[in-house]
Amino acid sequence: MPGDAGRPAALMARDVSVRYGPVRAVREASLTVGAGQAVALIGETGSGKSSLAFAVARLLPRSARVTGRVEIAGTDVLAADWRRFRGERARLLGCVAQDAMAALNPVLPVGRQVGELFAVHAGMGRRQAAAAASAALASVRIDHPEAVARLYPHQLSGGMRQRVMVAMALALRPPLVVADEPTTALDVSTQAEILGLVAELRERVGSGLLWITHDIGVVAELADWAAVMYAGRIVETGPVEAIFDAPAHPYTEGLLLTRRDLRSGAPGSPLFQIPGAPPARPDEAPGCPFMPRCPRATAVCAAREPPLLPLAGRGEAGHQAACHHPAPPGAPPAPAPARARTAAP
Amino acid sequence: MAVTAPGRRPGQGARPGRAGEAAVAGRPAGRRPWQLLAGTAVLAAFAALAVAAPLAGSPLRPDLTRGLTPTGLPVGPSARYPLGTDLLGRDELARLAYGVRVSLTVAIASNIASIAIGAAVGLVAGFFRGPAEQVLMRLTDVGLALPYTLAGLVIAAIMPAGLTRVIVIITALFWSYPARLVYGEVLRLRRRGFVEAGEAMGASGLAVVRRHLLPQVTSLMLAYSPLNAASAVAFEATLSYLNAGINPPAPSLGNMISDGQAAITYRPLLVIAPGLAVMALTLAFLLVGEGMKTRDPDARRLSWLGR
Amino acid sequence: MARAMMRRLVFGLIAVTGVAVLAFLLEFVVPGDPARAIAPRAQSAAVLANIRAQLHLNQPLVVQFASYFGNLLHGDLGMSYVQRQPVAALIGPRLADTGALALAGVLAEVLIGGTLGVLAARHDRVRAAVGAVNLVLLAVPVFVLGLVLLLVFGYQLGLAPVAGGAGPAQIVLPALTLGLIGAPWYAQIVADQVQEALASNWVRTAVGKGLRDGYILRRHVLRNVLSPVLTMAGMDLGSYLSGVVTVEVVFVWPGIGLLAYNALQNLDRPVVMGTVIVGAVAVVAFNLLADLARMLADPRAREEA
Repeated sequence: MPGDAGRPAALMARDVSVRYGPVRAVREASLTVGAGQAVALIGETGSGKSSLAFAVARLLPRSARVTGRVEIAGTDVLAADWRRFRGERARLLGCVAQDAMAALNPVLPVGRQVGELFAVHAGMGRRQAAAAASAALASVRIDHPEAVARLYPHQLSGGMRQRVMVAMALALRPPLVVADEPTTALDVSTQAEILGLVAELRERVGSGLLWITHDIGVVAELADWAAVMYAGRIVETGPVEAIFDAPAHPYTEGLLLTRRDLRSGAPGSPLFQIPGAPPARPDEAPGCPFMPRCPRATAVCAAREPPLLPLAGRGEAGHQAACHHPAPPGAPPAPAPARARTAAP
Repeated sequence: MAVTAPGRRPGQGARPGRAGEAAVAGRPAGRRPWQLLAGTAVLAAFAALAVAAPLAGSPLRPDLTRGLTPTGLPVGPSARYPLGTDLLGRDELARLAYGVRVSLTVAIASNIASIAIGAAVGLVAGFFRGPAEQVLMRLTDVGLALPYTLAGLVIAAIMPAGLTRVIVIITALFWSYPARLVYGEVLRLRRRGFVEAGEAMGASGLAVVRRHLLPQVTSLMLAYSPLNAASAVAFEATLSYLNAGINPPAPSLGNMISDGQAAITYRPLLVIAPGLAVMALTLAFLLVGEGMKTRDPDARRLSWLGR
Repeated sequence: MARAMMRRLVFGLIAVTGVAVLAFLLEFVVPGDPARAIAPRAQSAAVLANIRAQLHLNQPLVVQFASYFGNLLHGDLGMSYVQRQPVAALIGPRLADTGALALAGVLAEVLIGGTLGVLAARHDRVRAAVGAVNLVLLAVPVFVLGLVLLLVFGYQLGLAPVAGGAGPAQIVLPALTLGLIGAPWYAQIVADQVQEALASNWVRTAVGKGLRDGYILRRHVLRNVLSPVLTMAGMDLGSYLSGVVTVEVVFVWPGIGLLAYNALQNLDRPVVMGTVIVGAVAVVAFNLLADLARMLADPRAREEA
């Protein structure tokens, strides 16, 4: 996989599983974010993408059981002592949450919340930390940072709040930034601003980026690499161009079609939809969890869950898919007319 | 964020309504039938004591020969007087039994009266809205804001002592909280369209009240009544202790404590026995109220701190 | 914000006026002859009539009402029938003693309740115990708790003075009584708020920032709990200032509550009315202060107002 050769990968996750009681939210997911690389993790609500991202940060509720191996910039995350890791975490990774309003303390000025990082991790005094906080706010292109630092979260616009989150995530120049759908709550023009800002800052700081999204459109603009999650598993991964131009998994094809219809569909023409809904408990049935919705499903799909394997005969290195019947290279991404199927008994 | 504590006057005895709410503080999920069981058992024991009170002897007649020591002090517990005698040589157990009788009578009567008045006020205000709502709810606000003990003392000053006085005082001060509760419930049902839907289907106003509002209001008030009763028991004792409820020589748990205070240094049982009785009664009512509650089964707590 | 406070001030003044009218009317329904209260041994009707005339009790109700209110506007609460002193002079020093008790009581309940609440929110095992303690504290009437404390700490252990006077030693037991009785409410509100905060995304952010648990609890979580606690404490302070009758009677604490209680027993009308009105003013004033405190502690409340 690409990335700076000299530095360790920003993130290396191997066979990470997350379970909440009997429910397996993430199943043996492996993912690498090279140093300075941007990876998009795509999936719909409930696909396990946020669970995977927060498992990597060890920020899941206590009820979650995480197994597997996670390394951030060479540091073993899951094996580390909780107390020690808690202190180190902010140096290893920064998080940008989906809802900045909920992720910021409502009764503390935002400057204090940014400044804390410097006070705790760089041992700065009160005044020094405040100055550093203002500088951090300025770096996310907030005008009059000293004045904004004194404001409370509810006094800022959604875009400004998200900028504050970005400033906090990048404050200590961590090797990895995890962004959990940071633009979904924003309007379109603000979305674009935040996207541009993150892309620019990431390059300046040199952080790796794991960008979680359900919007496959964002991916092309931002990421070098993409991973598609479905029902707790990574079903396709590869360079962004490869996935866009030659998707192999029927689910990825469906996602792309939905988007293409949204972009170029003639007014009044019906939008493409992937028929059916994701399974509630994917690990209970033996076969491929996408089978009930899949246009290419056959008997083998009901019997065995396909492993994630490199695609034969593809030009792009690293393009992998978990499908018994991946689309042949060069085939137009047009699935057969949707036939809703029910799972084999 | 339930921050406002309307009409809350801690330190002054009565706290109608909110007693049970605070008791819920930090409880895990699930029904608690043992609380209902324990509360009911204690109440049943007290009811039996109250009914059997005449068997214990006279609460009023001093026993000058065996009820007092030769120096005129109350005697301690013995086979004849299981709780000893009071300062006048009267059987403490008999007085306690009659005192419990007073407490239970007051709890039941003022509970029914205050909830009936409160529910009626809340229903009328919530159903008819308009000027009736304004007048009734402002009145309710005033009721909630009154300092209970002081108001109780003032009302007590204009009435002759006795059971009726206590019941009137407690009813006069306790109706406002259920009124607020019922009013809120009716408004909630209104928002959910019960009233309009009923009227649209051609039902008369009265039928809507009877069929859609009353059942909900009734279950709400049933859940509230044990807490109301608990507050009533405590407030009756407070009033009688302050000479504003049941006056001596008639026994009440409150005035027994007040009398016993004179002997607190050498016969603390005269304070402890009625004191424990008041506490046990109140606690029993609170437990019944707790046991009647259904709890959110999914109250698993999440905390990001600590591992 | 200033306009909202003005509005509340006006409502408060209306409430105080209402209470004053109500107190005045109620006092006239109270049976008993104040002249008899003043001169219990006076035998002749002429003497009693003379006293009534001096007190203007022979004038129509409306006239008495008007003169009482006129005086009230000048800060004159009238003369005590029994003690032969201006009511304001009687209330003044007692207000200070009641104020001391109220302050100590509120401090005690915030400390006890806050500690119980934080413990309950943080530790599952403590939670059930705190719930049980809360239930018992709710069940015990104030005067019973007061007497129990008096019995145990005063008479049995001899750790605290039993009664009489208002001093730093005498304040401990009545303040503790108020604190224990009030604590369950604070425990509940603190437990709820802390629990909500601990599950919030912003605490997750704080954990993600590598802050220590203790730091998060102190600087982030408790800051959020401050505003409801301040509101409640302010309201309590007002209501305690209006007279903690039962506690003052139990501990013979020479405050407003005891004054009102004795005045009621003695049919001392002006004193009763004076204490009721001063109490109403205290309640209104401290509710206003509580609002103000809440706005200072919670930036969101500032804008709402």
